[in-house]
Amino acid sequence: MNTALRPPLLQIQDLKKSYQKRPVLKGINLNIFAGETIIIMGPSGCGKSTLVRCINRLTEPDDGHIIFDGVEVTSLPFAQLSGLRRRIGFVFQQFNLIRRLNVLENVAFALRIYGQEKTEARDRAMQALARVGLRERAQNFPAELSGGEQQRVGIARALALEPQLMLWDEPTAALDPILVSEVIEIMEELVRQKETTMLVVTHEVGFASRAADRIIFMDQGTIVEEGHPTAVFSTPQSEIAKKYKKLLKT
Amino acid sequence: MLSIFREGFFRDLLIWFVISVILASLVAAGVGLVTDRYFAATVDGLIGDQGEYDLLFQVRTDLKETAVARLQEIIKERVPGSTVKVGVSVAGKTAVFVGLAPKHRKKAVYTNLNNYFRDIPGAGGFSLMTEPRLTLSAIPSSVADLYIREAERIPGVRFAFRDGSSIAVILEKATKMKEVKAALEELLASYRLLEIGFPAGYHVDNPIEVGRNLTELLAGKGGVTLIRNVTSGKSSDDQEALLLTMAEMKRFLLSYAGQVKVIPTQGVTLNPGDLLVLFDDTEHSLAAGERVSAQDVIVKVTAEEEDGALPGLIIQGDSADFTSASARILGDDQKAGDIVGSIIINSPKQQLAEALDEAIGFLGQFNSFQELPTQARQVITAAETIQAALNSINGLDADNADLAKIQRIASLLEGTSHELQNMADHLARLRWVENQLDKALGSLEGIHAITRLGFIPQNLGYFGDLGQKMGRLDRELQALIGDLRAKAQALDDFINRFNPLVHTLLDWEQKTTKLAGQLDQVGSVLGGGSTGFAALAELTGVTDDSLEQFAAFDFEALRQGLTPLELGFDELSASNVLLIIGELEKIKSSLPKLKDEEITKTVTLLDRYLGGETLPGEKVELFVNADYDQKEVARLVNSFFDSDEVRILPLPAGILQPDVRNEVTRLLGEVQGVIAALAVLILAVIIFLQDQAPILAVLHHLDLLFPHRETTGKAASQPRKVTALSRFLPRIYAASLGGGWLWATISLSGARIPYFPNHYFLLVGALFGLLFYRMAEKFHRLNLDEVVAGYALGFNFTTVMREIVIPAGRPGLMQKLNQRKMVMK
Repeated sequence: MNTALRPPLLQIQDLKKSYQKRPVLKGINLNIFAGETIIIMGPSGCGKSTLVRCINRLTEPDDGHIIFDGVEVTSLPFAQLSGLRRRIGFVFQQFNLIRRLNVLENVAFALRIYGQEKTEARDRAMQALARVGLRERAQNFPAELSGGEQQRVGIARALALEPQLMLWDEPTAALDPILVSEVIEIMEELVRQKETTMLVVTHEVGFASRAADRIIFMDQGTIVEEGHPTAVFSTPQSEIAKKYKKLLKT
Repeated sequence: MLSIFREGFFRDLLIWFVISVILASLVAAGVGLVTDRYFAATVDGLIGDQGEYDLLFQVRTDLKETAVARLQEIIKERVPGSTVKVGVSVAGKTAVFVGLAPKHRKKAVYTNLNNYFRDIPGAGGFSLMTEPRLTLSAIPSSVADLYIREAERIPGVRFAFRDGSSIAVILEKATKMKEVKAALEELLASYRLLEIGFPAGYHVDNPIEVGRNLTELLAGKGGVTLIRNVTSGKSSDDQEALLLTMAEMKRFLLSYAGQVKVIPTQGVTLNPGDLLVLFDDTEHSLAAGERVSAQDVIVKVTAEEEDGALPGLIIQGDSADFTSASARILGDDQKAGDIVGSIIINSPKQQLAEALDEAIGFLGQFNSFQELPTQARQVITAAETIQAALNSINGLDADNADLAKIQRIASLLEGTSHELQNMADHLARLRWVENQLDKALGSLEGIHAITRLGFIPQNLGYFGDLGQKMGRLDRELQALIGDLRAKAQALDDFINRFNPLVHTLLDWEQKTTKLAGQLDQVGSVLGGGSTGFAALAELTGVTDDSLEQFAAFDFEALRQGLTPLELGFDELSASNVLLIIGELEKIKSSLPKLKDEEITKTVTLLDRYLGGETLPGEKVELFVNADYDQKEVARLVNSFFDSDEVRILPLPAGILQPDVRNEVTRLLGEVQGVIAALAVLILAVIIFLQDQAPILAVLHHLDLLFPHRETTGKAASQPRKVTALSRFLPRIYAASLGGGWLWATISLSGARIPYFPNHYFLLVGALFGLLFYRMAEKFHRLNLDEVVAGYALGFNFTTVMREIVIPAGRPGLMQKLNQRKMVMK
């Protein structure tokens, strides 16, 4: 896609974060354009999840700037964060569903909170569930679902708000390998539909090679390589990229 | 960050706070009220309702019906229209209430209540319950009338009267209680009881007389405008009663212990404090230089020599081991030294035990003495028979003594030999009885003398059981000794009058029988009327005088002389004798089985306490106005006794006793307060567990809501502030919530803990809140994933709490209140 003429939807400038004086992000610079699907890969502890959580300030960056749709996120007052977060969907590794609510209620939760009428919210929730193939499980509770189903509910919940940006924090890491595919399918379908910009942290190399517009490799708090999957996997420059390339082949 | 306090959730919290405090207060107050009602009902059952009854009798439950019947009789006779009610029974006693009819609630009636209700079976007296009433106690009895007059002048007082040793002040109305109480307190404060005491060793012969003299001296001087001598010689003070008891115990023990006198050997000087070891020639030998053992008897010389002897106390061993002994001086090396004297030991306890044994032995044979009168009468009857027989012989005289007479006498005496023998046997027995009686009298008089030495007090109940027994025994002994003495006299008289005759008759019998036999053989030789025959008659001792005496013997008088014996023994019934035997045996077993060394140790201990203490009965008490000049009065008193060691103590001249019912009501109020406080504390734990645990658990993760920056960059000031706030805000919240909640609930519920002011609960509650904050995540397992999900969905703090955290907590007031705010119910 041609990103030269459009301002980035998300700009990350020199983002830094430390935990107990141990630097986790050492000055990340990244621009993401609307409609892109960006995959972030790297070894555990390289700062991938921290980066993603800093974007909607679930984790507070220590320094740097995050500008989302022209809004300086890092200096936004707390009271205004809610509005920002509504526009940024988040899919968690552990699904993070509300156990006391059934599937439909979980998906309609935010819609109801933000003032939609019950019926309208229900309809929209059902549409979201249809997109993830779980209409028939609308009345079930999270404890009655498999891991893959729960994660699909999580996806539907995030989609129901029609976010501008979807953040995915290792959405398949907690799933059995058998269940991973059902989630990957949903993700690939979303990518194909191009309805939202996605920033996905994952180890799924195959998905990354098929779906990503760009793959960003991180290591020890910095971006070591980024580029189109074809480029990075054919001629990886960084060691991390080379390792992931081997995974791709296998 | 502070903006969250403007969010709706904190308004929810405020509403929860108010409602929970009100509800908890109501519950706690209700619990306290129920408790109070329960106890009040029980108390009413015990002491009746306010003003309902006037007198309370505690009667033995087994005599309840009899007591009530008697009460009703008295009421009908003395105070008709009054009521009786039987209350609860507790521990064998039943409360019986008497409510006087209004027309009888007069001073004249109250003053005579003790007379009216004095013979109630199973009751030891009654308590006054009339209300409204105040009681003045510890009033010297000789100024009671003064207080009564003064009290009756107080507005609001109906009348006042003596109630035992106190003064009961009956009010017109309960509403006057406060004013009358204040007036009575002022009345009491306007007088003082001056106690003038002397240290031990300073003896005053007649304290009452001294009090009188002091009264005359102080009247009108040193600001004394009113003075009365109220010295009684008795002490109602517990401590002085204790001192008196201890002094009496010491006196008893010293009298009871073995009394040792040391007679020093010529040339030996002994001093108080010297230790001597006793020995004798038998079981307790001790040579000079021999080491003294724990079995040896050691005496301590206690005073200077007087009349050649020194008194001593046995400090080791017992006087029972010796009857007489010698003494060696005991050296510091615990070895016996030279002989320094001889010892005389007098052991009252031994004597008493032996006398008791003898008396018990004598009284045990008492039954056999019952036959004495019968035996004596038999003697008389036998003698009368003989007399009648002898009277049938005419003109017995020496001139006419002839063979026929002698033969007839012999024959007669032979015929009555059985009676003679009986008489002799009976007389021998009577003589034995007389000896026994003499011995018994000696023993009993000995016991009597010992008991009257005074070392065992005669006061009934003074030493409890032993004192009572001794008092009773003393009376019985006196009666018994008197009776026995009369009997012994009668018996002695009988025997002395009769004995010579019996012996004469016996003698006659022997001699005349022998002579008659011989005269038969020589009768024909001598013939009657000869001089030789008269001489022979003389030889046999048959004299006219004796015969005349015998003939003239007044058996009737002798029979009458037996009356004391008979009557006396009838009166001394078996039950009296058995009673006395029983008492003597009990006394013997009650006697302290103390060795002398134990007595000495006890006396030393008593001296340690008694030493220097003022003994009751050695003080003067004066009733004076309170505004006297203390210094001037002290000077006058000291000059009166010519001593600076006189102790002058101004004491309150009476105390105002709170009304029992008011005291009970007050106590019940305290109980109610404490119960309510406990209920509040329990409710606090429950409510905080149910409602606050989730909130406090979330506050542990404020960094989710307000994630903080670690590094100090351009926007460092706000993060630093946020960091500080997020660390302290939860604690401040927890402490203020806990303190505020507890204090408010305690205050509203009427809960009170004695000596613990309510505002202390602010601190207690704060600590409670902090503790709860610390333990919150243990009480409530917070699902952080859900909370993070909520934040990620753009929910604010209030929404996260209302929709995610509170619904996931325990069912409680917070959940109930929260439900109406929830979107996703």
